[in-house]
Amino acid sequence: MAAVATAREGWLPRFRQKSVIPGFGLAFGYTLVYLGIIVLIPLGGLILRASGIGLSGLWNVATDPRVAGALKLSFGTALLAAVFAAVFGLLIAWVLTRYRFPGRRLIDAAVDLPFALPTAVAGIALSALYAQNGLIGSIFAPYGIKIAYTPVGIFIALVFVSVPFTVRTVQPLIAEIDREQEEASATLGASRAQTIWRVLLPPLIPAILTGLALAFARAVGEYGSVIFIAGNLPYISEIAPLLIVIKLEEFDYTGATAIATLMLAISFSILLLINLIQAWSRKRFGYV
Amino acid sequence: MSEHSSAPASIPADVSGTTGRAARHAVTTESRLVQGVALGIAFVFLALFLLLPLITVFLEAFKRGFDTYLAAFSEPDAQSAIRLTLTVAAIAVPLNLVFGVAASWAIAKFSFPGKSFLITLIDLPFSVSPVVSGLVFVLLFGAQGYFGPFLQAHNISIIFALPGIVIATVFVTFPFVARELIPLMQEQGNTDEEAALSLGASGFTTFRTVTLPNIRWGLLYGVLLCNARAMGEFGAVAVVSGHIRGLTNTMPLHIEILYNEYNIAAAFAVASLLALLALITLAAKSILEWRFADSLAGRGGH
Amino acid sequence: MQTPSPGVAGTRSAAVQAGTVGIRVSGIGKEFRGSKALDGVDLAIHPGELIALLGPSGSGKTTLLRIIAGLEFATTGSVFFGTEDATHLTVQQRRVGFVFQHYALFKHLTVADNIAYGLSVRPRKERPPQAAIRRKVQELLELVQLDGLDRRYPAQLSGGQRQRVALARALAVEPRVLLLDEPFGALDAKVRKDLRRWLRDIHDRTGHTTIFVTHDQDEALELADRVAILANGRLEQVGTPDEIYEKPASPFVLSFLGDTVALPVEVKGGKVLLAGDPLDVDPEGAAEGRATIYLRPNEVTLAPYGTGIPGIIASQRRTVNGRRVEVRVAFSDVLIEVEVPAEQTWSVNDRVGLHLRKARLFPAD
Repeated sequence: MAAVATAREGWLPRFRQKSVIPGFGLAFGYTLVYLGIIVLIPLGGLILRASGIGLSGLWNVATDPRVAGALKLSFGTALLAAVFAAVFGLLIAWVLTRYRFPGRRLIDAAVDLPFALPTAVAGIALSALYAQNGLIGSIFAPYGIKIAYTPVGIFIALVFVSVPFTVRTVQPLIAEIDREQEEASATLGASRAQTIWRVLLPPLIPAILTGLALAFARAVGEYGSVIFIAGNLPYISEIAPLLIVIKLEEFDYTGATAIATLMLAISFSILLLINLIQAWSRKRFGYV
Repeated sequence: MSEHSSAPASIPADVSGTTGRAARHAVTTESRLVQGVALGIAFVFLALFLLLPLITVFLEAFKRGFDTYLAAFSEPDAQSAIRLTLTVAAIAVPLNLVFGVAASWAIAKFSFPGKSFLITLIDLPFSVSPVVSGLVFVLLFGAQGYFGPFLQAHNISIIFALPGIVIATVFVTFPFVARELIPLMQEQGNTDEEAALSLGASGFTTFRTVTLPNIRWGLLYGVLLCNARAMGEFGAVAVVSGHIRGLTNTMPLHIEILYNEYNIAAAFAVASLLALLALITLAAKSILEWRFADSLAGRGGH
Repeated sequence: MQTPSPGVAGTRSAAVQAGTVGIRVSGIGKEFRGSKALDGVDLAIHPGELIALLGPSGSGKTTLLRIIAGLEFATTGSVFFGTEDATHLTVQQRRVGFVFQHYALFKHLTVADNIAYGLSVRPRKERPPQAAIRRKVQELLELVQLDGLDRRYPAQLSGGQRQRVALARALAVEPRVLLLDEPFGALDAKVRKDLRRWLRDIHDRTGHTTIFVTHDQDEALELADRVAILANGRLEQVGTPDEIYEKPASPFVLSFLGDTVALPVEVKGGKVLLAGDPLDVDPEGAAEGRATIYLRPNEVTLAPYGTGIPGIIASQRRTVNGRRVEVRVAFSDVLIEVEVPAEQTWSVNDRVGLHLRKARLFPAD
């Protein structure tokens, strides 16, 4: 009450609620300045440059066959990889939280490997594995199936980077599942499969979608782990981030900016979508 | 009530406790067969996609013997790459550490409008492609960038030089510490600090003696992740570095050059160092999680 | 509340629901990692009966309920539904209606879909058509007085409403028995009392064999036809509320049902001696030696000194209903708590006579 009263005394409402904790001005000011210098101004520069290109300019770049091909490849493989990783991520999260088996903690820790392993390291390792003379590649080579240096290789690299996102977003929710709900379903006559499908899975869907979207956003922009295994053939296995690098090397800043802007726009729409999913779920069911 | 809460022992996740008959497994879990199949699929998937690449790094690194492995590091270019990587991390991590503490202090300890928007802004670099993260600095500081002419006139080089690599790394690792600390400090609330202040401690003393001990494990955790990413960043650094051997090549970039020159053994030798760093990071992270689960905030994906 | 709903289990009287069965458990034992949660429990429940499993926490009452439901399996013993041996039936095969302590409603389903769940998961051949399910849901919503809330989500309901939905959901599958685990445990006192009456009413209308678990003596006595009292995994006593209250089978039952005072006495030569003086209590063939008399504060009256057991007022306190007086039995350390009407006033150190209206003698343990 007192805080409210004080807040109304000034001729302007107080920006923050009164608190005895010191240091707000310093911490908040430093946060804003640092955020501005490191993140906002640089991103603002990109947007400024993009606005110089204009919508029609963006459209021209986007419809260039090579750019369109790269964007299609990047978004297509990223979506496929994210969906694939979401399915297996759900299974892995389930196994890790619900079953007890030796080595569980070790495997649980290993899920974060793609977060910790530098992308270039993952890239050369995957490419060595899936090349035609590699450990896995040589299994498929006799049947004329090439994995590395094709879109399939890109898919595999993107699955690698996607896995931790999809596992880690659903895992805490699985851990919180109320056992009474499963028992209630069983007493009402549902088989285990029906319980999983109709009672346990639906509440996980927002989290699964969130994980999928996070993985997708990461996979679309992924560079290091992909370029070694991709083959990088224009129109076939050239991803959008690589095309940005190529444009930069050709000093075509406009082209690079245009592709980057398109990618950013799409990624931010996805982030917005995640927030909407979560808000909807919280409102409807009272949980995220 | 308490009787039921003691009952979870009675609904174990495993089925081993119950006797013989098939119908007798707990209703809250799958049959043994299903469990086995699910475990099998999970194992195969993880082995194929995560474990095998990791093992490959070390196998390839030692393929040509231990001498070749060591030789990869005696090369001056490799040594300068290692030095540069350490230098970059040594600058970028403390910068983001200070920022992370300041940001989480402002966000977690006070209430003000637009807080969630601020958090979204802090998270921004996570959702930007590494290549784009490099690009934005080229657009600012490159020859054709907004500050390009100014920098040239004063003979300052940022792009294709150490400052560019540092700032791109700072951008990419920007949210790690803050991300870890904000939820943790929000969970802990203000009561400890208020108690200390009411006992006459100054603001800084309160922070040092009350807040810092409360958040130290979360802080360490965030620094570990931040450092791993700083040393391993590839895309953003590749764009701003210019790949000048012995000068602006970090370890990941050095790996790329070696690999493209078909010097596979040397590439994997350098890669094995970074893989080791990743393993140490993972181990430290897991130990922190098992030991201090209470003093780390709810986990989420990065 | 008085409108009988047509279609659902019919009549107003406490008729036995068609299809509901009696339950018999025999020799039920359950071990958790070496400790016995239940030990040789035998209990028979008549068709259509409403019975309470009453006991303190850790007594095994919830475990017994879960074993009857098939959510857990006994280490030893058998469960019979009517004449059918249900010991090895899965929870799905048993067709019980189970109401969980925290309701366990499916948060992502509407009230209507929650209630319809049990019918909609049936195999296609046994599943009623959509229209029939909808009708059934409507009937049940009326029965539990929640008509109009069918499209709400559980998060939008109060605790009491959620409990009603949970009951309707359990009834939808036409269960052979209805099992409720601490059904009012998570509700506040006022709602508890209302729902108690309401549950009794529903039971009288639908006539399911019903077992509910509670740790609340009032709830058990007020609601149940019979009460089964458990302690430490063993059945202490089964009986009507009157039997349980008036003729408790053990000191445990007695003390669990309310405050008691224990008087250490001695049985000697067919007489009961308190501090050496004979009491006007029939030993009823109790064994010679040390014994204990248990009294309820409302079963002792105070009279002027000279009659009954001589005593001295040690303290007195005002309570909502009257006074609680502590009386020291003369020449001993024994303190007896007595409830007296508010009009009776005593001062500390007054000498009084104690009259035991009812005294239950148990051998000392």
